[in-house]
Amino acid sequence: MPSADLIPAADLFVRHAPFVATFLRRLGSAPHDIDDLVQETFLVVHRHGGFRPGAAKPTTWLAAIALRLFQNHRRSTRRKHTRDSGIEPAEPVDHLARLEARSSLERVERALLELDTEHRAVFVLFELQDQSCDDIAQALEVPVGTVYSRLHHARRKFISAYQSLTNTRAADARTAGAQS
Amino acid sequence: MNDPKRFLDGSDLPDQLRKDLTVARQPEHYETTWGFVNFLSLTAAIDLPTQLVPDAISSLPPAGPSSAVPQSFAQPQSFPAPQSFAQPQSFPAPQSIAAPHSIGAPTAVLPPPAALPSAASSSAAASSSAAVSSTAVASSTAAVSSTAVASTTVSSAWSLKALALVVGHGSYWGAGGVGVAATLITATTLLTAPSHSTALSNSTALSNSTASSHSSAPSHAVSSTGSPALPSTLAVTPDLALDASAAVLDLDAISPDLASQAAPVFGLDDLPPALSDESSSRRGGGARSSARRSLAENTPAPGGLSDEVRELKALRQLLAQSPEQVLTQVQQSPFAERGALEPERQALAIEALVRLGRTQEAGQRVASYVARFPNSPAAKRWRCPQGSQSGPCAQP
Repeated sequence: MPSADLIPAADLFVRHAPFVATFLRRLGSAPHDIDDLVQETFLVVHRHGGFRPGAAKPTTWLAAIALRLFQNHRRSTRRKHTRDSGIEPAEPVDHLARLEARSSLERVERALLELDTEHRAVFVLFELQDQSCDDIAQALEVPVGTVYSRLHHARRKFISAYQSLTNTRAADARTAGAQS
Repeated sequence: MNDPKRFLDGSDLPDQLRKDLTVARQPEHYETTWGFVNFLSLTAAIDLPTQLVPDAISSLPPAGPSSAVPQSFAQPQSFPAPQSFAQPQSFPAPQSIAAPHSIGAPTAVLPPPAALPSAASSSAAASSSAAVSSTAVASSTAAVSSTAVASTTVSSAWSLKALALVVGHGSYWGAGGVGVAATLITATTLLTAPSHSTALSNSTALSNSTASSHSSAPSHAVSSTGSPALPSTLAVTPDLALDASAAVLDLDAISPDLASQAAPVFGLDDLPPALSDESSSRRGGGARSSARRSLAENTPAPGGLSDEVRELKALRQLLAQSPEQVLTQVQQSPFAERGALEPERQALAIEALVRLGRTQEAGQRVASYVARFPNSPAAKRWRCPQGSQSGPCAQP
């Protein structure tokens, strides 16, 4: 295929940097690492000479690169993931909405952290970023059956983690109410 | 095989979870424009061809007379090697120095070193191999640091040249970039008014510049007033340069960052006839008047810094509505290439290009911008993505 078909990294950046940033954030990357990881992702693309359109979509292809970088980063830093208050949904309407959005994100991301990285990546790409299982399979270079399987397990674990999280919070709230 | 239904399409999902997932599906806020410029500066560091610094040293400009005010001198592209001067040398730095009235002028009448651009670019280029093998941010760090190291060699050559000149007269001082400016002043002092013990009052201006050069915000007009002003003239305003009668140039006020923007060192041989020949035959006043003329020609005509700041503010406001107009106005600015806020204007132009989707052009501009204004707040910010706190991005 001629190199003219290559989509340069700069073009991909302009189009898909927010997608990659969101993916990394939902994977559990700390807010202060996201910018670096986004840059690294597109530098990998740049070194590849760009994206060659093929079976994989650019978004899932980028997500696969970001996932590898995220895993490397985690291995190298061995940082304990702490959830801070830096979660910021796009354009919150007001303070109350912002607060609620923050709580929602926190619950989802806490539940996501209970999943292992491979399951989490599939869950995030499919459930939160609307990628198809075929595309995910292409990008992660696994059979589509594996994606289904991972998604199935990821959902089960996610629901379980989410419920235990909300139950714990409800219990805490009841206890606090009884004490007051 | 068809994909399974997404969670949110399922009817049996609890309301709370449905709501939470809806929020989580919203994209994160990401500053694409700034991120993109960061990215361009990183790729620019990687893509630079590799050259050896010694080649650049051997092509240092010959001492040639040039009495005309060089237009290119007002354009920092002529000598974008300032990083080299940020490297502290081993010379002791004096607390203060005396300088003649025309401290701002000599830089305006000196010929630009034509070979320095290649020196600078090749020194930046020397870093590319280091950059390629590292990770993204690390590579930018490597690029920057090795640029500095490599170009130190260049500056050393220049410094030594000037040092030989100064030592002969018993005035031995100079520390890195600070020494560069000081050496230049001494050379001028010796030529123009050796008995003049008055000094120039630009310590205030330099202090301001120093404070601002540490500013992390890329888009504050006042914050980066000083650093870009220094390469073209040491004195920030013509009034200051020409009318001040006595004051002290406080070298402590010059930060390494600021000093890195200083003009390169020239030896006596490099001085143009306007200084070396004519001035000596005209009671020592010829150089000053020549310098005044040169400075007047080289200084922005309209109202100075305050007008420039006003213009920059207007450009910034215009950026969101009409990036194209910003581009045009930056090009047509009366301060273009001469003003103290040239780095800020150029950064705005780059941002305008990104907003217009002219990414290739923006990429080229970023590369030249980083080479031209390596210590500008914008260049620093581009090298240090949000949250980065390692290497050159470490907080003091």
